[in-house]
This record gives sequence, C-alpha cells and structure tokens, in this order.
Amino acid sequence: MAGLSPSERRLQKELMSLMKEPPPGMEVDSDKAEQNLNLWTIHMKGAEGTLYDGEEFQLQFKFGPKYPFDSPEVTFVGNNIPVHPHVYSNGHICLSILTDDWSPALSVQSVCLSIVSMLSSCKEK
Amino acid sequence: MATTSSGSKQTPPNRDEGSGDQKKTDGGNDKSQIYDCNICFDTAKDAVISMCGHLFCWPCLHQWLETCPNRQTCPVCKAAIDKEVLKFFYWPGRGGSEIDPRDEVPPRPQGQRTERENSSIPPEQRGMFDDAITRRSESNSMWSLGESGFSIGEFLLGLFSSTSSLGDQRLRSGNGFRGADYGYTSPGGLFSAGGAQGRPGEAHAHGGARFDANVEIEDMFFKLFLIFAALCLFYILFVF
Repeated sequence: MAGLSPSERRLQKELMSLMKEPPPGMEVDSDKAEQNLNLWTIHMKGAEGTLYDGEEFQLQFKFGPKYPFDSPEVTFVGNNIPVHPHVYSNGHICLSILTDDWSPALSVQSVCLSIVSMLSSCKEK
Repeated sequence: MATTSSGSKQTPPNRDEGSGDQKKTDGGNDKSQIYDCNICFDTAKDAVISMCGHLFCWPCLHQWLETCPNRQTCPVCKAAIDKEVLKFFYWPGRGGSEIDPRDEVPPRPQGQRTERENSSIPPEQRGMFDDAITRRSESNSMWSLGESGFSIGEFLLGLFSSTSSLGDQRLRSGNGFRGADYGYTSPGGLFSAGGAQGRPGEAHAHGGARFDANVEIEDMFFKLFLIFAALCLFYILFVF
C-alpha cells in the first residue's frame, strides 16, 4: 500500500473490510472498486419486513480527493430507484450526514446502514 | 484480493472504543487496531485523545478542525472539541516521533496542571490593596452600626476601636500618618449615622483606585479635609 495518498489508504482499508465482512444485505462490487478506488457501486437489498423487502438497489459512492474530510457523493443508480420521500427520482438522496452532518469518523458501511435505516423507517410510499 | 470471507473474527475498522474492547476479548489477530485513529482508520500517529475520549492522529484531527473552523466537533460523538484541551498519548514503536522506551503499556496521560496566575500588582502595592480591603470592611461595619440604630456612646466606642486598629495597619504598611486615619474613619461613622446611603459605594471605589499616584494625592487631600471636618464636628459636639 506504499505510495497511496491518505484518502486512498483509508478507502483501501474500508474496501477490504467491506469485502471481508459485508453488512447484511449489502455487497460491494469489488472489481469495479479496485479499478477505480474513487467510484464504488454497492448492491443493496431492502430490509426484511419493510416496504422495500425483496427490492434491490444500487448505490454509487463518489469520493473526492479530500475524503474523509469531505463527504462522498452518494446516489441511487440503475433502473430501480427506491420510492421514498427523501429520495428523488434521479437517485439523489436527501440525508443530513451526506452534507452538513458529515463526519470523517463515518464510513461507507455506516452511510449504507443509515440509508437502509432511512428506507426502513418509511411507512408508506 | 480475496473476496471470500476467511472466517476470521475481525471487526471492521470503523468502530468506537466499546467494540474495540470487544475485539480484544475476542482474541482478534490485530491487537493494535484498538489504537486506530477514528479518521484515517490507521494506527494513530502522534496520538491525541479528545476530552470526550476519542482517539485520533494529531494530523488527522488538526485537518478536520481546519476543515470546519466554525463547527469544532468530535468526529465520533459530535461533542465540542478544543484544540488546546487534548490529551497527548505516547507509546513505543507505534508510529509517531515520541518513542517512550519504558513500557509496552501506554503510560497514563499526565494530570492537568496550570501555574497560579501572577498578579500584575507589585508586592508593596499588594500590601496596600489588602489594607484597603480591610479598611473597606471596617467602614462597612460602621455603616451597619449606623443603620441598626445609633447612639453617641456606641458610635464613639466603634470609632475608637476601628480607628485604633486601622492605625496599627497603617503603621504596618509603612505609613505613619495616624492623623489621616482618624480623619478617614470618623467621618465615615458620622455619615452613616446621618443615613447617607451613597457613601459605602463611594468608599468602595476609593479603595479600588488607590494604586494610581494621582488618586493617592487626591486621597490625602480628601483625608485632610475630613480631619478638618471631624475636628469641626468634635468642636460642635463637645463645646455646645
């Protein structure tokens, strides 16, 4: 891992961790992420017992050179964008931790969990 | 890059202290992970601990605080964080420039210790300041005497005791001008007897401003005037 920038070092660590121990219902497209460490795709399943049970979504993470001091750009991509009051039809997610409340202690995993949680708390579409 | 899970019980690096302890008991294969910085997820280099108890590399935390100058918060728990109030941590061979060869266990951070604040007043003037305070409290006791009900006998008794003790103090602080002290205190008693409520505040201000040389001269003139006034009053009291 020599010669990597601090941002790349951290992304590499996060990627290894996600591949080794993926959170339930999530899978990182490791081939794609290894090709370009700054653009990840994560396949996500709607949590059981929620309105999104059985649905599959794709999340795209874009990391800037200042990551983790700057938040990643996270959007839903692909042909299935979840119908949710905080998700626009173009895939944009309205979530405070992705903008003002971002903290460098947050990670791809914690952002994914927050998004699943946000979807799960929805009572009606 | 293996994609299959090897079955090792290694928790992801993003966790707080609680899960770090858990890993330790799990017998995790990378013990140094509990010393990971919460920002770069690497072993903390030039480690610092916030007052809320979270560990960071100093360069990482510094960069974060620079990124958001108007929102200085802990990245983990969002508690307010102060660059000046951090615990610095040193341990051997785990990155950082400070290598402590004593122990494998990181030493406990040192307790906070601050020097006593140095007063800008020179010692000889400080003596006078104390004197001024004592005198103020003495004269305050005179006010209360006056307010609680006044009789000539009580007044004279109080006057005598307070002036004699003040005389001692003045001698101690190197000012042998006893007459001035009589003058200063006795009108105080008289004024209070007369019920002038504004006086204690004035005496207060006077005590506080004594460090100024001009004020001191003024004060002396004031005292002389008071001696004169007191003598007049005594004359009136005893002659008529």
